[in-house]
Amino acid sequence: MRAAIRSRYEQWLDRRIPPAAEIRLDQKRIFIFPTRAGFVYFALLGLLLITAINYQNNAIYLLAFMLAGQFVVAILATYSNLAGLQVRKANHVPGFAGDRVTFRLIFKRSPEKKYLSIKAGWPRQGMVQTSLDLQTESVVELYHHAPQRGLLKPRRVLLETVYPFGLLRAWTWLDLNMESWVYPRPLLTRPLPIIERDAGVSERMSFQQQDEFTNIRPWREHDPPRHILWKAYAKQQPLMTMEFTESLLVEVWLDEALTPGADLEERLSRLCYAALQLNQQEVLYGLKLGSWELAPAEGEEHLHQLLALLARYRSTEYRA
Amino acid sequence: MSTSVSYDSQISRGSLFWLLSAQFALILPHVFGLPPWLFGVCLFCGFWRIQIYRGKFPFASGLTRVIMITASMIVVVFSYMDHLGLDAAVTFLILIFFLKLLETRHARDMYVTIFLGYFVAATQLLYDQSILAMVYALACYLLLSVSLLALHHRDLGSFSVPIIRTGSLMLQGIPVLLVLFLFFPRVEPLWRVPMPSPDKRPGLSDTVTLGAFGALARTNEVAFRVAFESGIPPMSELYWRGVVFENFDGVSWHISPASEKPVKPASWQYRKRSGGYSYSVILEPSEKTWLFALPVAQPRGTGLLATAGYTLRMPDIQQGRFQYKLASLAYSDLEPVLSVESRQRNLALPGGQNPQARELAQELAQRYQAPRKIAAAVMGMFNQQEYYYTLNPPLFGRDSIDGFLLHSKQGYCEHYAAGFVFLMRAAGVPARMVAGYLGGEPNPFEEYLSVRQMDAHAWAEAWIEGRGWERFDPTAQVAPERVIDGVESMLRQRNEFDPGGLMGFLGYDDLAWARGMRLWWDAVNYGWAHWFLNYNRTAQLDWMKNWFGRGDMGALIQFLAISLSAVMLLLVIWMFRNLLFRKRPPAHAAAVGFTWLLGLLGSKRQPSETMVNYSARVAQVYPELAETLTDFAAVYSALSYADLRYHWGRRLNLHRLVIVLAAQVFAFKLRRPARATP
Repeated sequence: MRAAIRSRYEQWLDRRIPPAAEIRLDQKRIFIFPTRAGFVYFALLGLLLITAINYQNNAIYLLAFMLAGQFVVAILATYSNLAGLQVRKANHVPGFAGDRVTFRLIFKRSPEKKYLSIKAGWPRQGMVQTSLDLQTESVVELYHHAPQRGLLKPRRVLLETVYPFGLLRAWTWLDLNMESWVYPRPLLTRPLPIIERDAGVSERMSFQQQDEFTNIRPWREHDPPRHILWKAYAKQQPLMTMEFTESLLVEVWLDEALTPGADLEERLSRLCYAALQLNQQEVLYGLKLGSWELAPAEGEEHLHQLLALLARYRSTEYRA
Repeated sequence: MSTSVSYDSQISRGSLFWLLSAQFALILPHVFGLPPWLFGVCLFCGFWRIQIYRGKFPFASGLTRVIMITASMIVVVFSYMDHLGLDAAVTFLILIFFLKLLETRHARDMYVTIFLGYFVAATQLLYDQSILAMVYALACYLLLSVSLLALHHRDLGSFSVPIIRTGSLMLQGIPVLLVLFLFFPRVEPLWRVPMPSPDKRPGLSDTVTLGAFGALARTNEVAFRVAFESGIPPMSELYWRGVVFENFDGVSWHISPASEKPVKPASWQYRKRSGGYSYSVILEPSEKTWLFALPVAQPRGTGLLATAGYTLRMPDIQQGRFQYKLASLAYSDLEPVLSVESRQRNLALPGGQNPQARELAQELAQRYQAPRKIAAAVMGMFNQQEYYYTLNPPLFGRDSIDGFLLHSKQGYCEHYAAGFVFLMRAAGVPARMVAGYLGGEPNPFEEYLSVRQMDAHAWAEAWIEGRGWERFDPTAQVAPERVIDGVESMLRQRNEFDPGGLMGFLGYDDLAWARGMRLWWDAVNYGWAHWFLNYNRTAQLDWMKNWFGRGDMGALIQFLAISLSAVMLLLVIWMFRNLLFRKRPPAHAAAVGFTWLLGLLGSKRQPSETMVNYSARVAQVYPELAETLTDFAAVYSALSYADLRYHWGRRLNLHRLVIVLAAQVFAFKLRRPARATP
């Protein structure tokens, strides 16, 4: 029953505020209603009026009407504190399952209007408060829990304000088509599940990565910078280069089929951990996931590509 | 979906600061009114809250709070044991308002405390509805609203920003306030409420004992203000009759219950003459129900009581100012037939005091026989013998009238009135003492008269066979200037005027500007009482009838609805003006006018032309206009290209130049046709 009502409500919201990457808030999109404090304020107003009537006291009438005027202005001011605001989806930072994903929104205002104390976010995940008064555009970072691996599509994001007096709340629910991949939760694995390949030589299974350096020699031009002994150089010694054996690992493969683990999720978690480890060492690493293959490479971009594959592999979309 | 307004969030420093200032402002007027212990408790609570903020003290625990609230409730009940009423309730409210501080941990508690503050500030006005009290309460409201605002906007910055922001929001609410104040139907009290215990207020007393009037005569406080509908009568006619003293016990004069008996004003016996005055009186709060009027006064409107003593009364003692409207008629033959009881009452001279005065009266009665002649003889005696008007007469004991009449011959109005009445009664003529006020000060700023406590006066009435009650003012025989110029100037002349004492700032009247200020302030207070405090149901409906032709409740509600919607619409347009109207550059309107005017001369502005080029081009053709054109171009450029949006001087100048140009262009057009432009 509750779910039914909720889904009807969401359908209605979808019709009223259709999803879009950029939304300008107007009267169709803004809702406004007194807060609990607003209702108490109303009770206070009634009390003052009764006092004024019973004591036939014009001064108290005036104060009661002053408060009434303040409430009327508060309705408009609260509404105005959202009206005209432009909200746009910006980039996001994917996260690991069990951690959080960071979504970025851009708030933009026209030069003659200011917005103060607006809260944005998902109610159960903590809201972020921001003001748009000094700049005309500002980036707001929203954090969203990422409970499981897959494609996270957050529910509508809430924008609300009770400024100036907290008597009324103006709010809107926005669907900015936000989504983000959620990588598997990294699971500590030692040794790493990799297949080493010596350049040009035969493939062999290994569970240990090896850094066999053999020699130190004076620096020559075109030496890779990461082989230079920077520590020694810092001590004012001459520039030296470490020499590795020719059998230095050139590339390694992460293979789901070779990874230990009870189920797919666990294996992906181990692979995730391994990829993060490999990224910190100077190796080229690739990924085999069933029929998917990602050629060995290195760097942050490669890592994210690989993690995205881990996130996508036999995954489901979900909302949270 | 759940709301996420955070009632549990921590309180910002700014909000706490503003709340504490508001509380301080609220308690300040009570410094002398509240019991000292309560004031101490309030200060202690404020101190505790500051210490909590500084991390020195903890919040009060649940048990502490229960103990403190119970203890204060008990103390309040005991302090106000004999009169548990409004005062006790207000005291308790103030106490709660401060105790609440010890647990204002979250935003929720702040709301409660601030709302409580709004109410406490309003209760102050139950006691005092003066302009200053009103302004003070509004200032407290501003502070409370600022703390409400600061609760939702943490980075408010400087001291003035939140006040300005809140102030501007509250100012925008004023149209709503005005409409509600004017049109909100005033209804009768819903139930009876305990009234604030009246303060000791100056006013006439209900017994007269010789030697008790002096202090009253010197206070500067306004007793009532009168607005005449057609001109202020001469001072010597302004005998504001309030109360008659018929019962004499040998020492003091008392009000007879018989003369206070309510009657219908129509049953008053008098012969109407042509002439009279219509006026309305605003009476300051008083401890009595006495109303003051020029005799014989018929009430206009309902709600006033008439008495057998030809005086008027209000039904209840009023907490605030009371306004009433009267028509005073010129009259003669007041109560031509005197009842037996009444005659006896007004002849009674019990006890054997004042034998010398009695003897004197017998002599006069034998010599003159006719009551009117006796009265004239007594008045003549005051006039011709060495009687002297002073506010500091010597005191006599048992035979005070003998002492005054025959020995000291010094006294003020009561002495003369009492002496006169005593002699008349002893001579067999019914007579009584009347108290009220004499004269008043016309205010130059508004058409009205202020009557002060120091204008209090006593005179006499004697009943003459065939003519009824006639007024005799023996004081006029002794000190005619008292009647003609008023008490203040008389006292000044006699150097009995005491500027430092109870006279208040009337003492500085020698300075013209100080007198002007005083009269102006008095006028403001009168206006306040007349237009604001007395804006009741009758005034509301009268006003509606005068302006809109309909004076009933239905019309009132209609007007309320219509004007409230109109005001709201204007408010919406005002608040969303940025969204509704395109923002024009500051000089836009002037530029449009300028080009239109020059267009009339046949010189259209080319799209590519700057204002400077355009003016220069036109100036070549019309050298007569050259000066205006160059000026305009210069100011226009300055406004458009320098950031001088708020440079009102230049904006005004720009519009002035357009008007000058318009005059020149039209003058020009009338004389000759347009010339060709290059």
